[in-house]
Amino acid sequence: MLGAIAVAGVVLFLVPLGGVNLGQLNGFGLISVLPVLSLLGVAAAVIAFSVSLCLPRAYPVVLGVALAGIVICLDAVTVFTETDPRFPTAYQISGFTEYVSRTGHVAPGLDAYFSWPGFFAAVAFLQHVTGNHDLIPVLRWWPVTIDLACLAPLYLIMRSIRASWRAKWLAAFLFEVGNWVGQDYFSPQSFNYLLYLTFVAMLLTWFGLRPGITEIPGIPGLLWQWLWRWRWRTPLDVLEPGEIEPRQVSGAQRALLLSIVLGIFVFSTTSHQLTPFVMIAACLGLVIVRRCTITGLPVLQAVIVAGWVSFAAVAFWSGHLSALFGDLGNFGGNLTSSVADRVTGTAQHQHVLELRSAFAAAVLLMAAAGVLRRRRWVTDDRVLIALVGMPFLAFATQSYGGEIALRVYLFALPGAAVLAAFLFFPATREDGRGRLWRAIPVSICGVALLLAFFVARYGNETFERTPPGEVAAFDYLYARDYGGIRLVWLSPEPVGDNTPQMPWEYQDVEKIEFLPELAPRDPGDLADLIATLRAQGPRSYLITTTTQESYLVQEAGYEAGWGTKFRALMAAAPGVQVLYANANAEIYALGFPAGTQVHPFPLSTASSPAGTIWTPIGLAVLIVLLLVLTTREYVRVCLGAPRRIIRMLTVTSLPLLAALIVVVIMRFIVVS
Amino acid sequence: MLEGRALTDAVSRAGLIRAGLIAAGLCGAGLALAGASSPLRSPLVLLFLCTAPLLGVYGLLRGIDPGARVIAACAAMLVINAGVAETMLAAGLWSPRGGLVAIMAISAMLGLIQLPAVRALARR
Repeated sequence: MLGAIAVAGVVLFLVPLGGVNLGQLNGFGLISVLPVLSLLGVAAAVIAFSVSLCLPRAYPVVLGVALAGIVICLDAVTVFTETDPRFPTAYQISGFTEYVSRTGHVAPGLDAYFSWPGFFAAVAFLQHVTGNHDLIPVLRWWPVTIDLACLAPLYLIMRSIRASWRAKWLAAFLFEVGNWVGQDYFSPQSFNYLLYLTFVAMLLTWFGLRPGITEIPGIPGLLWQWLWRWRWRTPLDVLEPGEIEPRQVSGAQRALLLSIVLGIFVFSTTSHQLTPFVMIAACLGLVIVRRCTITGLPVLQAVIVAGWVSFAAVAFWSGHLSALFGDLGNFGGNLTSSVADRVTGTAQHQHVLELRSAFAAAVLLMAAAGVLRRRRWVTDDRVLIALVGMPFLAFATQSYGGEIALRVYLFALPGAAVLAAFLFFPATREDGRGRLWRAIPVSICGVALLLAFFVARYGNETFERTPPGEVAAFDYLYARDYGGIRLVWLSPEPVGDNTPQMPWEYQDVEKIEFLPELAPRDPGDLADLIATLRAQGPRSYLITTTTQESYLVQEAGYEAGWGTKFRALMAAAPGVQVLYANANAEIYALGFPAGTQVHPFPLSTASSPAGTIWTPIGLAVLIVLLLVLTTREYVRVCLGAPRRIIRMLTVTSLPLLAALIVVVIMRFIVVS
Repeated sequence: MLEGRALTDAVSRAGLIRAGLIAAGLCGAGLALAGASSPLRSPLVLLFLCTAPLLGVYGLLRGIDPGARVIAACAAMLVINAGVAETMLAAGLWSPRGGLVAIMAISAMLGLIQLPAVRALARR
């Protein structure tokens, strides 16, 4: 019966979505136009799920169906309410994939993304073999598919944690509802998140707890001892490990599993800038808390990343070293630029941003409270605490364009979700008794987080969506881009802002140059824009879209109705032609006398870094070092860690490691 | 635990399903290699790319319980597909047909290792 309620709730959510009028979106985003029936429906599903958690025994089918239904309501809502896929960067990624698919090459001189082309290569390959080159349906269904897929490695992670089935199912729900960050659009990041979860899951399942090894070394060990012995008055030797011992597998199978783990990491290194570092941090954390038997893995991972960044991503860093290393160590500065500096714009928009911070803080607080509740069961949850804590190291390294806080929360979420579930169901074993009254706090929490999710995730929907007509405007341009065109777009801050809020670059990335220009606060002040268009010469256009105009109003505090006034005044300006117009986009150009010279189109796709002797030397050192370190880990894992061989390999690797560091530094200096 | 005849039935059912998946996948691969534009091409070739490496690695992870085994095999499948695609791109030899043949070869190799005759040989 609970299953029927859950399914009915999901259906009740989906049915009224056809009548949603996106024209009435306000600063709170999608929740301002969602029908009340829909919200009631999904809340009913959440309550049914919560009640199922408190029954005497588990009904996996009911819980699974309810959870899947809730995920569909959370992540696929825009599939049913919006005609075109949302989020500008998803289109840009699909454009990079189209470039690789069309040319069979990368264009590292064009965009930093091309220095990490793994994801584009994989998708382009699939496009070619299936013969299907239309990525729009993929863009539309990608978020909900990836979010559902993430449940599989999460299941594997939780299998090795000592907890009741109630806590595990609740953790899965908290993980899905806590993932409001919105990094699950079609992108390398979303796929790499799945890889990160799989990486951690495989380490914990087969290379995790070793019986008898309990002491944490160094300062973390001292902190751990202080916490348990002095704060909580519990001697360490009565603690039960919070993890289950891994099943025994043969040496050959361990080698295969290690190969899969390394394969995941190598693909992550070649497809995303940030995730490999988080994987290294997670592995290092597990090694420090003595829950990873592949103790040399972090070093091997660091060498792989260093090798890729130094040798293959040259186009990215040569000339941009200050951007890469400028924020190193600036913990406080990175935090400020990530959290505080981004709170601008209209009051509603600011509320959305504040709610996001509050949501993240609430989840982390619930996790902390869960750790405290688990004390009564005298359980040692060091793995989960390490998984939550290690991503925070990223604050010290990069501000990543101000987005690092979101990413840190995203990567801390799996551990935090399990710990937060312990707040409600901390028992390590199940006693087979249902306590239905516990459904009340779980339901209240669940529904509150659910409503907060819709605001946090879709709060920026006024400019993150893609209204009908914007893609058509770009199709107009793509039909006329032979020989290259320049496209001016209106930004509140041209220097820092490099993403227009429109479905840009989804095709012909090497043929359109996007130029941000300052949008005038007074919509009638068009002199600068027209002068820019004149200076750019023929084959230059200016585009404005409803979503970019909403962005100016919501995020940068331009006057309400700015867009309508701007379009009217621009169309009426002398010399300006309206080449294309629909309800949601307009494209303008200046008239030039016939025969005016077109400025040469400068977009370069390749990069040609200076050749240097350090490259072949470095590659040789890198290859040998990788062989030594990889052999060491295979020997450790498959042959029962024979001390002499491992020591010999470690000693061999040290001078090579020193040599690699020298080569990398010299390359940074010479090739820059 | 299944016993006797029930075990044989279950094993042969699993074997039939595997054979069916491989056959369907090979049809898809054939369509893709031939460059046919049938509507069946897309789902069948995706089926092939998913199941061929997955079944190959799944068979090597005997003795591990099914849930974890499937997830590990899925991870291996992603790595194999992505690795082939990326190697082609990096080497400048962008040929999707070649990539498809490479995946067929890798899956075939993984399958060959699992054949009882080969395993007996390895043990000796």
